[in-house]
Amino acid sequence: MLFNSLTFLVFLISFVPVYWFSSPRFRQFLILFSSLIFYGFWRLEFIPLLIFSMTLDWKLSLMMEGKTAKQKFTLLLISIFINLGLLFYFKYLYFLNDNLNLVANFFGLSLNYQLMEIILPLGISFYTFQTLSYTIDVYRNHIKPEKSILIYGCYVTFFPQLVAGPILRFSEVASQFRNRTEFNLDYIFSGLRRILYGVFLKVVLADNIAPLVDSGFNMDVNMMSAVDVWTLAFLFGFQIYFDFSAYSHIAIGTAKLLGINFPENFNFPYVATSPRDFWKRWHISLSSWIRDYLYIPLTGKKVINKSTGGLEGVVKNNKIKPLFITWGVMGLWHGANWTFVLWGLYHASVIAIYRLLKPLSKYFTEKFIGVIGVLITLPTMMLSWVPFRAKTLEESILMWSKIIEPSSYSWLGMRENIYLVTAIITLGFFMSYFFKNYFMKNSKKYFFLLNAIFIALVFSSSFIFFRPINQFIYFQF
Amino acid sequence: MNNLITSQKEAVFLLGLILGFLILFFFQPSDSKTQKFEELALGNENTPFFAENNGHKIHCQDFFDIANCLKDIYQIDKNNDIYLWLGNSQLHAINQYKSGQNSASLKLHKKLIKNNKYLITFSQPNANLQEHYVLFSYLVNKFNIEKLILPVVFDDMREDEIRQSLKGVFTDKETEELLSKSDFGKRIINFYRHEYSSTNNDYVSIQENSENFLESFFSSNFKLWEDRPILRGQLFNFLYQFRNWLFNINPTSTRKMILPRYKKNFEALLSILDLAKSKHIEPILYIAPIRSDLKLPYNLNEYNSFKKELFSLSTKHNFELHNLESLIPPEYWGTKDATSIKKKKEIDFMHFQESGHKVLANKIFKVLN
Repeated sequence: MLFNSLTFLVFLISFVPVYWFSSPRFRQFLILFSSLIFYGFWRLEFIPLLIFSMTLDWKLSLMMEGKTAKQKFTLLLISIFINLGLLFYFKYLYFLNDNLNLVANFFGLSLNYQLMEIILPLGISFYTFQTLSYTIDVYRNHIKPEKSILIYGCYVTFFPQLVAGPILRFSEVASQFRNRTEFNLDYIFSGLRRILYGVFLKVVLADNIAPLVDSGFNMDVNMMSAVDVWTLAFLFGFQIYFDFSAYSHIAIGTAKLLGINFPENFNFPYVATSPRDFWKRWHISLSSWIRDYLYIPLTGKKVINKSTGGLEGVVKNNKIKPLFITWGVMGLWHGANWTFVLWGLYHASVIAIYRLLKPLSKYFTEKFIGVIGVLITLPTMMLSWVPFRAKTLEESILMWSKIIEPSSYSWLGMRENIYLVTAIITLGFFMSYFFKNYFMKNSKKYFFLLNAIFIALVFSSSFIFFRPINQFIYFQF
Repeated sequence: MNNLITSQKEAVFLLGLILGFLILFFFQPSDSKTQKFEELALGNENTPFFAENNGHKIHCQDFFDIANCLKDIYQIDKNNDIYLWLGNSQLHAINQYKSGQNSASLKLHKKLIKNNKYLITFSQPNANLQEHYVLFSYLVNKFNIEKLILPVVFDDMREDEIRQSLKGVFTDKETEELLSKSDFGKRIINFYRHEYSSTNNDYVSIQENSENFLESFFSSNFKLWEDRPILRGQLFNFLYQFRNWLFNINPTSTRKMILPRYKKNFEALLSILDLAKSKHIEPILYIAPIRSDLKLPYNLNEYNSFKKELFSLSTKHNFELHNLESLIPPEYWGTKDATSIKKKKEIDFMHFQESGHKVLANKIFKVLN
């Protein structure tokens, strides 16, 4: 079910009152059942796969109790093998096949087989990571295996986050599903506010930027100027930010309507002062997942702290290889295409350079580092979106090469409006950051009026643009 | 204290929603006359006129009304030669329209029909040559075209892509096959495939069904919901006017050529010519009339090289090209509503009055004979 649809609106209006009038156990059943309905609105035939993936990890984790370390490890391997196997089949088989064909062609061979059509189940990358984190946490003795399949089922299938996150940890939500939360009007209002804000970001901003981005990336790359590349990188950077953070806002708001708190997934990423800071502000649940379940194990360290994953120990252990492997995987997680791998490796390189330069920061004031940090991090992060959006590796590299070619700065290849919109959005983003973090905090006098005007504008513009014309970008991952 | 803050927040939220509704009701149009956003730029002084002759639709706009034109064309005498005229809003907008007046397309149609020639016209606001190519590829499969009349408008060389209301042609298998025969057509198909291939897909999700049902339920029961496309148009129009006011953009402001788009449209033109040749259709091209007694809103070097390029193309590809840029006398042009806030009237460089349509129809008639 799409969040930006009337169907979801009706679903929510029917679900929320029933939820609050129900007993705790019935609430768990209601969440599980409604979440499966929510998923089935996309395709009914993939519900069994979701249930299988969910039940498997629940059962394997239960079996770990009281077993030896070796037996537990075997159970963990089974879970990883099956989960990643399913993910591989649905998401990466075509990719492997294409690459095998390419290699075979290179050697003058022909592989004469055709794969049948494979439909990528919605949200598989998200729920696979979520179920894996559960099994690994049980294996690491960070959590006890859950006895109730209802609570575990709620954790995996809970509809606000099922399709595109945030990727939750079991410990973050289990008790919220288990215990009865008393009704509080504040849940409804703060939930609705977040949902409204998310809908605005999606239908007013992201969906209206989308045609400009599409038309820009449809241009012949050879005809693009350097200014066009920068503009498109920024514009897509904002589109994906609005789109994905919109999803997170709606997810967080919907959970809030039910009295359930989700961790934040975005925090004004483009004001980041370093690449490391960026990843603490962008898709936070995925970054921390990758850190805890891939990067730290690759460095050979044990996870020290259950909640943070013991990051501190890793930074001292500055290893380049795990960094690049992690980012390669991070790229592939986003999509089965070499462009995503390039995107990941770009980030790995940027972080590696940042680590090299970090010691120099002690020679400058904190304020100076902050300003310079934003001025360098913003365009660096924006450029990373080029391979993320481009169709091919060749196209990405060609676009990047434009920006270091001085002669490419002498013309403009797109309509004037696109540059104007990009400039307004960039400016608007920083203004809204300062407005929220400085102005609103210091001007309690105007709080009431400004907030009401803000909500009025957000609501009225969302009302006229509300339509499911585009699905969320992250649905494809 | 906490309760107070919470209740204040709730009050603010409710007040915001009420204010939001008031804004929507304030801007809600009193009548539901839908005007497309592209046509808002025409202003009230230009009237869209999609002609009919004796109950037969002879001037269509896009894929939504194409069936009407095709239905009538299949009923005409088989001995008639069919001429196709493609163009932009210059063909369908009559400046200072008065009841009973007709457009060039109807005037020419009436002249031609006496000679057993049947003229059918398709025009869209700011139509680019890529759109003409796609539409032409669709139409050549539907009936036998004898001649293609095609204005080449320098302004429209700045436009790009295929508008939503024409994308329906992609669902036609024959058109897809025909487009696939040229490199340029292949690129167009590849770019739009994801948009129309889903319409060929038999699978309809529960979400799609429920959404269609709810959308039609809301539209038929809530006027404000039904008026949302108009409100969207109004908002975009306001932003457009606001931009023009802010940057002092007016009809005489120089519109610079956008090189990648220009080249893409030129490629489309070559594809049209190739297709016409392969189907034995005679192409007749003309440089569109523009109000030329005033400073042109173009960079003159760019405009002159555009004309030069067209003439050298006509020699190379051996087709008729007529320069009609100064065809319409200054007095036959008009003004239009301002495209900027705080202004009242602007010169219209693109659309002329009925007398101008008459001059254009006569000229094209002469060219055809």
